[in-house]
Amino acid sequence: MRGEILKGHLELLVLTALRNEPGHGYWIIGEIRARSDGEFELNEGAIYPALHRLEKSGYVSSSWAEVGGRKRHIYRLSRKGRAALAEQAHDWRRFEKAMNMVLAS
Amino acid sequence: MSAPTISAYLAELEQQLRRRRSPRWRLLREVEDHLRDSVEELTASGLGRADAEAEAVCRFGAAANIAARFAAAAASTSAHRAIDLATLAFVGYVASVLVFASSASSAVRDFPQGAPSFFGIQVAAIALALALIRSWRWRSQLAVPCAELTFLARALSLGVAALAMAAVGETSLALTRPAGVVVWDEAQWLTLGFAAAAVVVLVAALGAVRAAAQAAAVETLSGDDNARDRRGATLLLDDVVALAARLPLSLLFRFTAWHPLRHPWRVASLVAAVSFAAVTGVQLVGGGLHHPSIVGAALLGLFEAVAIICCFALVGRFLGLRDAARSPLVD
Repeated sequence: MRGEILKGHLELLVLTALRNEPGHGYWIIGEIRARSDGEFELNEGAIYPALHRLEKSGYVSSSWAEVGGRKRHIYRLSRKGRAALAEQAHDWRRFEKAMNMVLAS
Repeated sequence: MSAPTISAYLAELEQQLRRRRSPRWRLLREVEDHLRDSVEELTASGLGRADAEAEAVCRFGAAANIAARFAAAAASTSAHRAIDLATLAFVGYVASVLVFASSASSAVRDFPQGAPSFFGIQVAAIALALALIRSWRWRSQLAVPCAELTFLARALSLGVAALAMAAVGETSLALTRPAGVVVWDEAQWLTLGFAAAAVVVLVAALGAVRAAAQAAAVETLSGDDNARDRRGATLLLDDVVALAARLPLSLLFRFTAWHPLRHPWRVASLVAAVSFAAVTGVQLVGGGLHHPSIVGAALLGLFEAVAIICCFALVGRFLGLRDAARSPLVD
């Protein structure tokens, strides 16, 4: 799926990837790709401006940590981010349901 | 032409970020880690080292695009934060002036409420209100659009500059008074409170300078001519309508055939007329000591109204309240 289509949903995708465990930028992209069965091919560089904004908004926190023998910048979902994820996921399901109804008509 | 290697890519990314006055160190570290991971994965799948580096860089995206996105997000964050701090500084300054005015003895009562504060607070209130409207509209977005960011940074800079000039002006006037006129011992805590508010104002000014510099760099390198050519008044109109749509105010706009923001000069005239009436009324009712006659009160009201019109004429375009001047070369 094209990056431009995914651009508007990048925040929701990143928050979802971090729902169960923290991770760094490269891991998040791999997680989104794996969970979408390879459908979602993000423009890899686009994830860092999004992570920066999510962190400044308080949706994720970050810290340096040693992963696989290398220092990596790890992002974690905050309580505020978890609430935002629940809200955005709810909105998305409503949108999906309405879109399906329109397409089926 | 061969694709750039990781080190060449990182050097280009750093240069692009530097040109946009964006924070660099952490992003460069993260991008380097990302590209090395990508190369490891690609070489493990059988690709040669050089091809893997080229593929990793290609997947990541052009350095100029990444830098532009990151710089826009960073400049937006700086602007939102600077506006929050400026609002805090404004509230603190006004509160300290009001507390001083209501609590100090008559010997020092006129200290932080002279001409610098009188004008500075009014200009700052208008400019920061404009900055807040724009900031609220775009706060949930990844980045503020370039043209909006420019006007946001300008309003922020003007508001904080007015407040800083008021604080510095008042302090200079107080310190240069003849000895004995002001008995500071009578108002130590009030003076300390004012000094604390003035310090917050100066810190906010530093944040505003940083935000304005980042916004200017983002605008200069955006290449978004369409955004820059948009009419300033239309931008403010968009902001207000978008905000009103989230509030019960949308009903007000729905039933208003004559949209006030499409006629900025009329709105400015209306504000000047209301200010004239308000200032004259307040002077007659509450300030009779300094302006005992109706003529004196009306003159002060007229001065306020003329000042509003002059300020609108001078900075209306700068803040995006009036249409941009038409270039004769374009016609």
